[in-house]
Amino acid sequence: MSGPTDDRFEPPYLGDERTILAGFLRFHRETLLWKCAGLSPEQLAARPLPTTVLSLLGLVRHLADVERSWFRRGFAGEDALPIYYDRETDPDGDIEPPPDADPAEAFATYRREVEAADAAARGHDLDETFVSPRGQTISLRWVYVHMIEEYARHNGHADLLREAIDGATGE
Amino acid sequence: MTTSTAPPDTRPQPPFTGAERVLLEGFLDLHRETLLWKCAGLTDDQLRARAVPTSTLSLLGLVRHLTEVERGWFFDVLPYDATPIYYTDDAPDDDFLAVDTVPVADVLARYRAEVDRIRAEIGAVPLDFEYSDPRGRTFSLRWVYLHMIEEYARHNGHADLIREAIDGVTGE
Repeated sequence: MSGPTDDRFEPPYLGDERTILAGFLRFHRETLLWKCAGLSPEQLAARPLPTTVLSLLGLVRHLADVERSWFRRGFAGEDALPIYYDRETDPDGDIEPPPDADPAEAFATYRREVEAADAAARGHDLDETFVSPRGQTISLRWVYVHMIEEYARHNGHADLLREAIDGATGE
Repeated sequence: MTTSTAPPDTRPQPPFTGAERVLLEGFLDLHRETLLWKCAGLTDDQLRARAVPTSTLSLLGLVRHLTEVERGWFFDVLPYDATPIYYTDDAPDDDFLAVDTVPVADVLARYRAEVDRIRAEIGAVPLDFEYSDPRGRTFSLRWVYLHMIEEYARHNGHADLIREAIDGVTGE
């Protein structure tokens, strides 16, 4: 089955480290949205596979919080607390949305967090570091590579969720 | 479905700081080990199972595919004969699909051997090294590393859901 139109950014094959990292991150942000495109709110909230609690809506909420936690709260040291979960009382609140979770709100929040994440990283060197709550010293380079691999992994989840929803596939 | 216990996790984690090459190799190795971890402790039949009902993917198919991906990208750089071993022009998805009778141990052994060979030799090639493929696209080794990381991670996402469907085991 043909899926939504694909006009995603293609990471350049050549270029310096920052260009390639930013390129792949942008590709995966766009891939997440592409995997959600053209679906109803019910389809986005659905758990289409019987053996996992994952939904596309849950992934969007989760990745909004992931962007925020690494780029803003972590690297930039902003006072940007988790949006959708609480570490103590509701640790999976992002990825397991409540029944009344609104996809439109999730996409707006996601886009806002991506912009804010980019702003937090802009102008900073890849070797700059921050100290995590667990006392680990972490570089911006690590954050970029980790974000790419975390997005790619969740886009793998999204691949199978989307295919189960309406048969649409595609890299 | 009873959830089984996850296999022991001995995967090496990439360092939190360091030079570009150290991190790229660290994340790539993490994902190679993650693929194997997602396969660990399963029977041959479980590895062949298309456990997600709406997908044709199996864990064994992913191992075969990623063997081809490693060869296809790194052997162009090295340069070795990258002729596909698991698919043909007439059957271009056989790496994923032709899993029902192939010897599982052979597939896993071949995967490990290809990765070991690449690991032993790729370190000598600089990240800015450029080469062109038969379609005239010019890549840097830097791009190849990041593409390998993202392709592995994406397939490990598939593996996450296939494994969970097989025996309930999850884990990043």
